[in-house]
Amino acid sequence: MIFVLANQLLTGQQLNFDVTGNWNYIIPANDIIEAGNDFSGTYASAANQISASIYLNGGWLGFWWNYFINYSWQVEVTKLDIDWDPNILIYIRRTGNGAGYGGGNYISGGNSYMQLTNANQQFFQGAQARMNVPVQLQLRDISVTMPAKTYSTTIVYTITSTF
Amino acid sequence: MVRALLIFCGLLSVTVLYSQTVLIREHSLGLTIPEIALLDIEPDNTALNLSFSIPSEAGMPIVSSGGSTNSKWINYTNSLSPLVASRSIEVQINNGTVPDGVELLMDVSAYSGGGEGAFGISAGSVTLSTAPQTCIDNIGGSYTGNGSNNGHQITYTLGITDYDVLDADQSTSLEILFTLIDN
Repeated sequence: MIFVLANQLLTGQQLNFDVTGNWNYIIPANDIIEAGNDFSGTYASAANQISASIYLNGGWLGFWWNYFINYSWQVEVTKLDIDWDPNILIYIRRTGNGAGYGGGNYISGGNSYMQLTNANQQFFQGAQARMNVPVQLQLRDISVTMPAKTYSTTIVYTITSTF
Repeated sequence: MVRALLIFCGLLSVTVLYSQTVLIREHSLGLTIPEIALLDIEPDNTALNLSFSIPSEAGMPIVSSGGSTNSKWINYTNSLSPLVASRSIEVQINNGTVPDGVELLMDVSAYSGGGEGAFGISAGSVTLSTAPQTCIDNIGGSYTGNGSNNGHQITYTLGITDYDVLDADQSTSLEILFTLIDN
């Protein structure tokens, strides 16, 4: 009876990983005001262009699970090119800590710009709930020597959580 | 009650131990590079004064005074859509008339400077007229660098086509127009 009750009580919580926002940047034509010059070449998004939240929710305890279950997690990041020039470099960094919930919560790593590649790389890690972690993107090495068109890629975040 | 709570906590610990969850999320990233077509004359577009030198010896031909004072530099920045193969620069006399018996020549150098990309190909020497003529062709995505000594140097000289109709009183001002166009 106790086991059944406990089983009912302990199920229902699930890890949530919310990533909101995207970035579509159009280089303004007046970026070059003097013939003979190239683009300035480096462009950054808003510091909170992307927001990531990691938390337990669901079941009868809802968000309170984060105060009763100890868990840690790590976030990896990569890019999946759709139509992208390999000479255009993408950098990513975490510009803040967001808000932590639950005993022993922390977040670390990812504060400095790191270049995205087409392979997963460690981005940041932490424990317990972490809400609204701001993420900034930066584009580098853009030149008029590249075809004038719209380029697109997908930024993929993978979270692995251990309870 | 206390025992039940302990069992509950024990089960909680057992339940959450060794559990691993992997979730994947994504968002798009887009970048649009605009088409750019910029052309400039350096160091400035002030007028050049061309004249003929007086021969030092009777019987010698009249020649144009030359040198660097007769030259300018063409700078450009060119960002091309994939739908445009290349661009070219055309030159023409936009205003004014070349004196009788005289021709105005413009030499265009090959690219030099601190730029990057697919630079245009010089047409060499062009005899200017009111009709547009290509002076630099096949410009791809490129930037020449800004200012003198970047891009293509253009040097003007005067030539005599007919001594019979020369008039020493003829002085005139010409306006030279450069146009960057899609090919």
